[in-house]
Amino acid sequence: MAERKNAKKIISSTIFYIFVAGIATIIVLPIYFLISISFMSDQEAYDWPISLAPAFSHSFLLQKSDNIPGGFLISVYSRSQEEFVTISESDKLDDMISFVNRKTSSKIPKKLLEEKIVELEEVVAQNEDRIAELKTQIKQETLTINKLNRDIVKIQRKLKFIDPEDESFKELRENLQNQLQEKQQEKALTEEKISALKKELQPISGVTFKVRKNIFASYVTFFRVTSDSMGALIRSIQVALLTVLISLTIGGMAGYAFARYIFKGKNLLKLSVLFVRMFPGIAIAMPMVMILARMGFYDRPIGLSLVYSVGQIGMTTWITASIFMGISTELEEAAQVFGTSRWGAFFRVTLPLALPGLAASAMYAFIGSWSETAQAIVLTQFNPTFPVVIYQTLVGTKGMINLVAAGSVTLAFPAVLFTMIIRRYILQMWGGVRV
Amino acid sequence: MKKLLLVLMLVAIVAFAFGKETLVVVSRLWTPPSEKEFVINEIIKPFEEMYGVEVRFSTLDDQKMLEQVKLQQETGNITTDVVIAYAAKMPEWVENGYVVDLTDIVSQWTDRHFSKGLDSMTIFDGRRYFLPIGADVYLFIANKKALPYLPEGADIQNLTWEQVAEWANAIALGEGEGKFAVTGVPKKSFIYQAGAICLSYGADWPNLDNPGAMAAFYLLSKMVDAFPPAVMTYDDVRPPLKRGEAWLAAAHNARIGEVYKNDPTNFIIAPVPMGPAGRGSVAGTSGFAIVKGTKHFDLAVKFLEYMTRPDIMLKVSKGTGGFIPTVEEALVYLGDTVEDEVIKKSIMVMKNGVLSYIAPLWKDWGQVKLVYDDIFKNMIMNGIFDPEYLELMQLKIDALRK
Repeated sequence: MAERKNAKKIISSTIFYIFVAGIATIIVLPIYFLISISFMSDQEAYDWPISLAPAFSHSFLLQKSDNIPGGFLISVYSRSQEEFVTISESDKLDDMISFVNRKTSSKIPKKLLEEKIVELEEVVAQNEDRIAELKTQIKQETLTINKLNRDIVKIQRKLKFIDPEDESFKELRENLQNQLQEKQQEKALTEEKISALKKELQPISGVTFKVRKNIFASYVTFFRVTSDSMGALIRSIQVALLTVLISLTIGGMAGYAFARYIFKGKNLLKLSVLFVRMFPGIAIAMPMVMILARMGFYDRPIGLSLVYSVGQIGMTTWITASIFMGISTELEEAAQVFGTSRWGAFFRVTLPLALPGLAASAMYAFIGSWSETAQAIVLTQFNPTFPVVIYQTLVGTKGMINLVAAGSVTLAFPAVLFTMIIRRYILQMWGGVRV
Repeated sequence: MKKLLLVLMLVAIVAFAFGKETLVVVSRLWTPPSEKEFVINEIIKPFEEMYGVEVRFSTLDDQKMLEQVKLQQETGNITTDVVIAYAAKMPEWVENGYVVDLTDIVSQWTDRHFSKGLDSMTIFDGRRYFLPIGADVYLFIANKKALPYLPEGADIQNLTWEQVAEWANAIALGEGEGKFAVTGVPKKSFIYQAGAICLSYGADWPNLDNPGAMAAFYLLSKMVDAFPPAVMTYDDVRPPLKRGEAWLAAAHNARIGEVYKNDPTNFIIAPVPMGPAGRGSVAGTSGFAIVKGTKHFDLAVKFLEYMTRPDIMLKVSKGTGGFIPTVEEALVYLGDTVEDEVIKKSIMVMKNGVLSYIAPLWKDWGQVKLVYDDIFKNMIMNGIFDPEYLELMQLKIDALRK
């Protein structure tokens, strides 16, 4: 009996931990990938399958070009393909350095490259005959692969025409399948041969070297092309704090009234403050935008915070109402018995008890206004907020996932920081006030 | 107190006297950071130094830009001076009266001639509201890994669509999965990619019930296995090409140019393939316009004059990845860099291709795009060619006309 109970306990706790680990993985993994990609160079970000962690340096292989007289080939080591991948072929060293820097975030010092070229000349001179021999062999094997590819495609095409259920073509089908298998095996062997030839060729026809990578390159590029980012960051903080202030003041007062007073239509009114959230933000914002622009609040943090507050007040009202409901009215009455006024009881007893919960509701207002972009684009021009600046920078960067990741992390960072600061108050948000 | 007031007044006068006039330019073009950085540092900075002014250059998408200016017009608070909008959106700018008629100003510039082909997009009722810049057509790109499957006797620079289909199908058979990229995500650019084939077969694009479109879709339906397994998630051909998941694509020249410039040793670019009617491509352009009500009209005109100068235009085109200069005189400055190669091939398509533009006939162009996306999903991805289905979809297209 005890054994059965024990086994049941083990199974239930295993399932529980698998569940917890699953949830953690679902949340953590995408964040990890986002951060990891933001530290990758363009080369790494598109090296498929993508590496789990960014590199701190890149290995390069320098070879002489066969196509450009006096030119060089530069290859970078691909961790996923486990071989050097050619990225540039040029006779202009400055162009090559700048291209490699853009693609790998590793700036090869010109002096180092020149030294490596001298080294390369020596290596090539020593092995000239063998290099020519190996190159010829690789060329021949490549031609064989091309022929095999064509043969494989021809056989596959023929096979497509044969109905697998048709017994009259059974022999032909089997024959073709055998041929296909043979060709594929031959192709695999030729590929291995080419790989072995390249392995032999590499050290005698090229020189390798390692260069440190600028791990923050995506962030540097991001800020270089993002104009007025610091000013925008400050404005975003202003807007978020103003939104918190406005929504907490109005929503807090409304929440207190809903918690403490009984009046006709209270429930309907309480529900109606949430109506505003049921409409798309932009639908509410556009008329607001028109009014605010006429009031002279266009392109000013206060204008934006007023627009954001419209959506936040309803939520704050509900959150603060639940907080105040969790604080016993007897405490206020006791304070009044001891001689304080109703205002005094509120400020000295209720408010201090409600503060942690209010801070948590401030978090909602902060995050809501922090990440909002659509309305801010329309309502700002000379004084954009941080998300607008990031949006403007990232429009059209689909082919640069590392830069998009850097922008996303930059945008998320202040909100994460703010949430971390007030995380311990979140549990008290729904009225769990401890006296 | 009086002294303080006097000092304050002097400071205000000095600040006013030395305060730089600021021109606000909002663009839907040159959005990738590298392009934006180039335009700001290499093109706009010399203009600022030349005239002692400041130019604030920011990028936004077409719709957001229009919404922003709409609000400024409605409140009378015009803070955007110059916009760069896409051809498909230009009618909306003109119809709403948000932009200035530039006909008389441009007629005085005798050193430049805008490409005639683009006039249908930038001239409205004989009046020029937009100055075209950065025209686009479609190019073809192939990863060198695809070369072993190239049909015998085929020349990449002069491919026909039949050869492309044969090539793409051969790759699919040889590699076990397709490598020809198109944008499978709805409302992206499949309509233009299919349009390139339709036009090369003599179609009246974007209509579907004509022999050219039927021939093009027949060919596409024969390429059912040629698309990568994840094609329905592609909203842009650049990422799959860059990571080697796709090897072939026919797409917008600036996007193809970006992939090629990023890896010129492993890719080959060519003009868009041919059909019986020639090289088909949907073409477009972006254009400069001055916002009506701007407080900096003269400076805005100077800016437009500077940006459309032939030498500046080519510098912009080369620095921003392969857009075609829209001033005829700019072409004499072309050289032989990777960027020049992209531009030259684009010009070849522009000059000799069978081109079509997005005519301002549609209530909602996004819905027209969706018709093509449905065809891709329901017909091409199932390898079925059904002329009746295309005729049915034509009814949908007809219903979307203004």
